[in-house]
Amino acid sequence: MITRIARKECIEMIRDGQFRWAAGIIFALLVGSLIVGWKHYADIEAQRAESQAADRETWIGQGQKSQHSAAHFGSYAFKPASPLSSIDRGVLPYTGVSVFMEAHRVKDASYRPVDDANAMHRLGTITAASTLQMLIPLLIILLSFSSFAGEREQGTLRHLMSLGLRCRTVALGKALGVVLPLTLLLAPAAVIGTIAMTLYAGPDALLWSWSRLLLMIVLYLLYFGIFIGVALMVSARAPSTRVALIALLGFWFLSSFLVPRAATDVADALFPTPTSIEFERLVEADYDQLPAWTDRTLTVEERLMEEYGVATPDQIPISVAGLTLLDAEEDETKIYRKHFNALRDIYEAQNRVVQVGAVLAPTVAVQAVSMGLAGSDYAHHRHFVEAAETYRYDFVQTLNRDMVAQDASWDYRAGRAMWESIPAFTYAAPGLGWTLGHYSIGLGLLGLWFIAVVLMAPMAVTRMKIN
Amino acid sequence: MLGKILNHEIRLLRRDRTAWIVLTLLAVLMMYAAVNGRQEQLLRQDAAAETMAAYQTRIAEAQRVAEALEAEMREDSLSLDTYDWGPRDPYNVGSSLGHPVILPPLPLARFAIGQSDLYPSSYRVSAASSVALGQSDQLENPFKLLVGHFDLAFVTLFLYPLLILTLTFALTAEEKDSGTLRLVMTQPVSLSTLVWAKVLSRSGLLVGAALMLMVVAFVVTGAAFEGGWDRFGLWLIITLLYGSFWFGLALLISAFGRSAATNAIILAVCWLAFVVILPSLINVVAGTLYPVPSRMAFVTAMRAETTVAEQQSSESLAKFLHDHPEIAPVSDDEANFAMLRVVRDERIAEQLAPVMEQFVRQQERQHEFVRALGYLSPTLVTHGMLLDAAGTGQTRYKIFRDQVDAFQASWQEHFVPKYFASVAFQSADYDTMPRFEYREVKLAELLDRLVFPALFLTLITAILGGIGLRQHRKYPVAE
Repeated sequence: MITRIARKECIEMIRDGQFRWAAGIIFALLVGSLIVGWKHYADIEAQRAESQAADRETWIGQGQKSQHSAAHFGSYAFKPASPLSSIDRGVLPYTGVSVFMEAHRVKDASYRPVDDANAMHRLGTITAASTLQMLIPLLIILLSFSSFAGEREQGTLRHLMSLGLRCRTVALGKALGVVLPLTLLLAPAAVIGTIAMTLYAGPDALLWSWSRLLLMIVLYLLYFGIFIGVALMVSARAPSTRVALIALLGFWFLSSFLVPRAATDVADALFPTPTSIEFERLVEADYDQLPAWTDRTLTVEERLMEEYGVATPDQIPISVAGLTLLDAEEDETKIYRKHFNALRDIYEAQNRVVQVGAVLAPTVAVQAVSMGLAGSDYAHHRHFVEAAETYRYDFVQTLNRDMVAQDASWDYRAGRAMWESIPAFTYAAPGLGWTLGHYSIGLGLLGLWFIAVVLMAPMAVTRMKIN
Repeated sequence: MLGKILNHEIRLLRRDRTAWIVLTLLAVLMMYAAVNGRQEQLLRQDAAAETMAAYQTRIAEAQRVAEALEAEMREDSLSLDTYDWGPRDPYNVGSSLGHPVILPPLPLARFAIGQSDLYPSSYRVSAASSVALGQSDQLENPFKLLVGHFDLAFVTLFLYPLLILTLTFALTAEEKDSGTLRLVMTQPVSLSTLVWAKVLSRSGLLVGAALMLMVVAFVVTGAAFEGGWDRFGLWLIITLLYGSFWFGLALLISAFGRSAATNAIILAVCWLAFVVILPSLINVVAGTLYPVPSRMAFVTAMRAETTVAEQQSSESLAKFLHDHPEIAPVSDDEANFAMLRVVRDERIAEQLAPVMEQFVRQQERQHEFVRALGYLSPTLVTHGMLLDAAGTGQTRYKIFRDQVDAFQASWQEHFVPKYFASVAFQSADYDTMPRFEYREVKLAELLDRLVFPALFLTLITAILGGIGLRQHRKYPVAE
């Protein structure tokens, strides 16, 4: 019987011109944004690989200079894009694409793509993710707002309920009736997306992406399930189709536009972002506590004179400059890392608060988890920047240690062999478990929404007015 | 007759629960948006003031130290023309200290945060190099930048048309369906008078409420006491035009005599197309057709040029001096750090000019494309106008950048000859340094930019409304 109800609903929708138009447009948008997304990803990846290789060349070919000059010459880390960012670009446009790594200073990523974008960028871009998050729920609403309310108005609901079916059966049948036309729309898009991914992504990226893509599909199915359930419940309980439609559209607008904005405002109020002047002042305050360069050198000299049992600094058989630099770099790095960590913790705390907004609107959770799975969220960005910072510290200290090992003064000149001995920067994106850990709140709330909808939809159908 | 019917319609509206819900929603969300926008703007205003204050303290301190040094030198009867690294070194003042330039926010910025959270409204100008592209002067959670702000511009662009549509999708359709329209038509009233009355009463209610709420917001958020009434007046006119467009559209859709439910769906689809889909679609198409060259390639090119410039700096210096005979060096010391720096920066700028130009050209093409296609959606037209009026759109930032570039040139002109001539920077010179003050564009220029889009919006509204009224002549009063 479930299949019969579903079949009837399904045929009705497919024969409906309005549905065909809406579905056609959404399908075109979905496939179009997938293709644009993949092209964009392929371009960015090629540019990144090229720039990273060019930077390595520059580093190796920098010529003869002191180790410390080389540490200041520095090098760049360019952020790789994950293949799934073609589906969900997340915060990528709003985060820097490169980190400059040099001695004494820890830097944040710079060059945000949005700085070069046109003014309209802020009104949104169509990606596969935004289509799935905003337009498909709208289609679900159009498909199902009249499923009970419409039949009640036409008087056919009495006939249907007089067949003595269990309410759960009716609810499930109606839900399946929405699922089938949606599948006709989504399945080809998913196939096209998967094929594109296999074609564009390298073997490593592919391996990393598979499990995430699967989870992404589950995530969106869960999300659509919630919307179908809510739409059926509202249709069953609303006094008329008009009220059902207005209530559902209101819920959609709330979820897509109001709650995400309001949630970030609340998050900002709970964990305020410092201004850049405040941030600089904090860093400077700690920096001022560090010993001055001359004092630091004197301390190191005294320590070494005692260690080697010599009377004057000239007799120290080891590079004072190198050891002083080693000490200084350690202290300076500690300060920067402390403050950057505090700032990044604020952002992550804000992002967790936003997930709580999913209590009101499941869209907020889907938005967050989706970009997390795509590897285009803030947490992945932070992971990259921190990997660059680890690399920076290691290579600067390797150069400083070399100064010590070579007993080098400021006039010593290292060359190509030294630059080549420092490994090139490589980056491995974090695993799935790490990602999911960042989204426990969102995932939990989505799960609750789904369970609540599954339990309550049949109840709503049981209690609905027939006449 | 119109007056009587209008009176009747207003009475009906006053009894309509939906109208009250819509008005309450509008009032609550607008007030929240106004307070929220004010908060954001105050934050930015404070940061700008703090940057300026910090700079002034630094400069005052440097000048004080320079005065003390000069007193000491006079006591020791040393020449004041000599200097060491410090506040009397022109390079230190011109390049290391530099000069902060600030774009002051306008009072109306609290209505539309616009691009102000993205584009820097302060830079540090120095003689050493031109202002770096893409540097940001504020910290912000990238997720917040992505989601966007809850400000009055958002409520006006997104929610206000939606509320208009909830009051207008059933202009005459409901009366037709319930049969009262037939009854009304037996009276000596024309359908167009009736429709006029319905539109005027509803637009008076909703647009009037929106405008009044904005006046309240203007006063409550304190913007009214900081001036800017002229720009606020423009903002109100734009809101009025945007609202009229949606009324015109509703009038047209309702004229075809479909049921209220069908009208509602058609209008909702129009809203979706104009407000959500078209902007994002145009944006994606613009980015795909005119991609801005990658910043990564730019970074690599800049670095390669810097390396070359540094390796060849003495050679470049000779060339530079050849090109600039007016600033022949007093000292023979070719390794003079300040000189080498200036020469290196000039060389880098020269080498990178073609890359930069390509960047700017491609960006301009994208802007032009977007500006042209923007006319497909009244929301985009309005968005541009509102941000321009509030001074948080791209235009004001571009004007600011141009002024900063000009200021940087004059700053360089002031300091670089001093580097080359190795002239000491006297404490009195601190008082005659060039200073930056943003020159606000004249209202006439703003009006000039707004006239065309405003006329366009008016024309579209007139066409939609005109066709709608004409079509109503064929309106099927009864099935």
